[in-house]
Amino acid sequence: MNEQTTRRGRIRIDGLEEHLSSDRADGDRTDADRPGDHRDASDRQMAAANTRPSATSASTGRSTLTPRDGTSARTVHSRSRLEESWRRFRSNRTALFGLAIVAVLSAVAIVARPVEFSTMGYTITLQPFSLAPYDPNELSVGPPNAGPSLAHPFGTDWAGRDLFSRVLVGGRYSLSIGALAVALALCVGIPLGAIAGYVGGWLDEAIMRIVDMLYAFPFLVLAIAIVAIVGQGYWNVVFALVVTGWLTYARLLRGEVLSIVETDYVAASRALGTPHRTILARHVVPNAVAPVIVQATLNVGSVVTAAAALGFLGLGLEPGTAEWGAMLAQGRSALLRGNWHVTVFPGAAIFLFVLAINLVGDGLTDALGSRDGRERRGR
Amino acid sequence: MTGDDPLLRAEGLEKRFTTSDGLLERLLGRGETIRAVDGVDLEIAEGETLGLVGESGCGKTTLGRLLVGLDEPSAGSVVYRGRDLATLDRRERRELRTNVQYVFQNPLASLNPQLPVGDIVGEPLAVHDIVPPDRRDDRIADLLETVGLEPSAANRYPREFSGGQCQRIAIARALAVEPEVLVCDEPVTALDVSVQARILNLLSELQAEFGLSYLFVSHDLSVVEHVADRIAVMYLGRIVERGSPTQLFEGDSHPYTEALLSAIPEPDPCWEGDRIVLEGDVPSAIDPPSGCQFHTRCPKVIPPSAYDLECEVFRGVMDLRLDLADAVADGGDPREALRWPPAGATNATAIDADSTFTAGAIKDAYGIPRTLTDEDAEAALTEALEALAAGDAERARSRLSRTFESPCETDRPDPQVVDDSGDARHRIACHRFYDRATRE
Repeated sequence: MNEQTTRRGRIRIDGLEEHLSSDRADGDRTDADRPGDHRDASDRQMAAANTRPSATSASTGRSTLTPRDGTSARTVHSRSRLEESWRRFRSNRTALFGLAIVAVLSAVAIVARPVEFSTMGYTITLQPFSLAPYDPNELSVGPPNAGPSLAHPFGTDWAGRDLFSRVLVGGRYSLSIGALAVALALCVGIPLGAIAGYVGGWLDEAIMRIVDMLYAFPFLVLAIAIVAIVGQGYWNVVFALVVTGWLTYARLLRGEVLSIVETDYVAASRALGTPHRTILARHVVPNAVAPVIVQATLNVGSVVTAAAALGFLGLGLEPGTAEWGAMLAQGRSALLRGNWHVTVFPGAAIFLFVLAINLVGDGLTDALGSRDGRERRGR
Repeated sequence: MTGDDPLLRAEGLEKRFTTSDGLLERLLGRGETIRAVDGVDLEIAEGETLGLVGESGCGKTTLGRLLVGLDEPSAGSVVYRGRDLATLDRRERRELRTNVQYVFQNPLASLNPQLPVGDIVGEPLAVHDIVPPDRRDDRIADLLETVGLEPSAANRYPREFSGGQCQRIAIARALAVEPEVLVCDEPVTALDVSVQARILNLLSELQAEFGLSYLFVSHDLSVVEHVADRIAVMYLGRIVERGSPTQLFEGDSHPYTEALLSAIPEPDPCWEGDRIVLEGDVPSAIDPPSGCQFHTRCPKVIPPSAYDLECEVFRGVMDLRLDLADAVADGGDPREALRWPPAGATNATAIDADSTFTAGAIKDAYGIPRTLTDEDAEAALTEALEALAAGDAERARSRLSRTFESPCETDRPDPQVVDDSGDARHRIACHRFYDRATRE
């Protein structure tokens, strides 16, 4: 055995080490492919030059430019993918604009009326502000069907309710339905899609055939059918939108997972004896999920539209609820009478929100480097 | 070494893939079977490096994946320290399999781009609870230093490293489970030549330090020659020859190995070399040739014993026979499958195909002399070629295959020990050596 080890020594390339160390004046390291080699340092210089000269990047830039210094090399902090994506997102102005609109609409919806939580006779006020001047459900706060005025900026509806207050509070329903339905659909779609793609075989066939079956129905028709079966109400609408919404995510993720499963790092993990659960959660899903996130963001918009459509058809929340779609539906007759303001303001609110969500989605597509998020917007 | 119990042994290992895809084809049982690994016996002793060479697509990578347990064998078994992996339950097997680790060809692709290096290297530590959580960071730093990286690399992401550095990270990850065997699948192919040398040096240092065994898969004989204690040569899913580098490079060797060896370039501008150029493509693994799988391309194919024929002459006859068999199978004009018109036709009229498609011209195209030395063979060949020239390809084919049947295509050669004197047993699976071994 000893004899072989010495013979194996042949693979040392004679003179290579000496040659390399004579190349370097400092001669501290002979191994050019260790961290801090030329290629690396120049890469980092470029990266530092690309970032805007803000205080933080200047300081990290300085520390990365001296990676040979042992103490500062330890503090080198490299950006994770997430930070990198956020930086790209931030540089996209329209996306930031969309995000700002979404943030403002959400904030307004939250502070429109106080949020109170009552239990066992006690009332805990979580949010004391009240931006809306009137209770959205209070009748006859002004003359019926009055146009916009200083007292009622968006006018009033047939029952004399203040439309401004109703639009503000209506955001609570529309936005929370959008966010909840998408979040819950992700909770269903991501695990099912990941398992279908990772396990394969009959489980994959079973899940994907269910998806195909549900896909055969037009999205809204299926949602209407479900609401017709389970009845109206906030949670029922959310349920209908989850049932129709998870399909896209499952199918999208399964496709991505199929290609990720073939990669070497998944094989390496399997060879290391990592359990499948961990491989799926640590390696497969994080690398496959980007297009799904983009799709989900864009879907928030279409889910809000769908919720409004259900409300418009009288299948959403109870009639009279301050929800944007239901308000539109009630304004139909007002529109014929020439009271334009009853429909325009809730309609504008829906339009603004969906537009903003789409801007954010486009920004995410670019930021996450997702190839096909843009093409998949159709649905 | 050969007397020791091997660390890792493969017995009659086979891996078949099927091309059928989708539920319907599976139900109908359609699709073809590819024999990627076709009965391989292999053993790796403690502390040794076994080089595995062969053309692309010959099943080297599949064999490596079978040994690591990334794929399940269709037949045969992998035995680790005397324990057959197939007989163990799932948990035991996973535990045992961490003793065999894998280093990939493309270093960057083998590292998860989303995770910092520390998490990548530390994953096995957490999964197998090798090191308690509070000391994991120290262990990760140790591992990174072992492979020649700075401990600070743990905070960075794979894409920030060069190819050689990524390969070091991948090796550090493999070492984290303290394996005894590393299967290196072309570990330096994707790297610059200067970096290749460093990674090879690192591997040899690690071997000396930890007593690792390597299965070093490569298509590059010159690299393997430097690294390996023993070399196994693979062709179409089978191992055709194995022995020490000296035995392979200096002694007699399998005709396929000879061809591979002749392709190693010398760093000498005046080098011309007598390259053995193999005719034709690697046969498909879907329907591998019978007998010795190399007989379709072997420059030293054995003539039938009934005739007194030169090797080169018989090679020409074999080529003609194989092309003719393709022509009959395809059904169309036999001339399309044959070497016709002749590529290097010297006389101008030969290119004018129709009128000159004669027995003599066909012989020229295949480098067969106009008159064979053996009279019986000559008579048979002429008869077949005249039938072919007359347009009866099927008769020509059956006549030729009846007459010129080489032992290489009928019998599968078993590996024969040709030299047991050195530090390794030199075994060749070729009828030429089989003859000699039985005669002696």
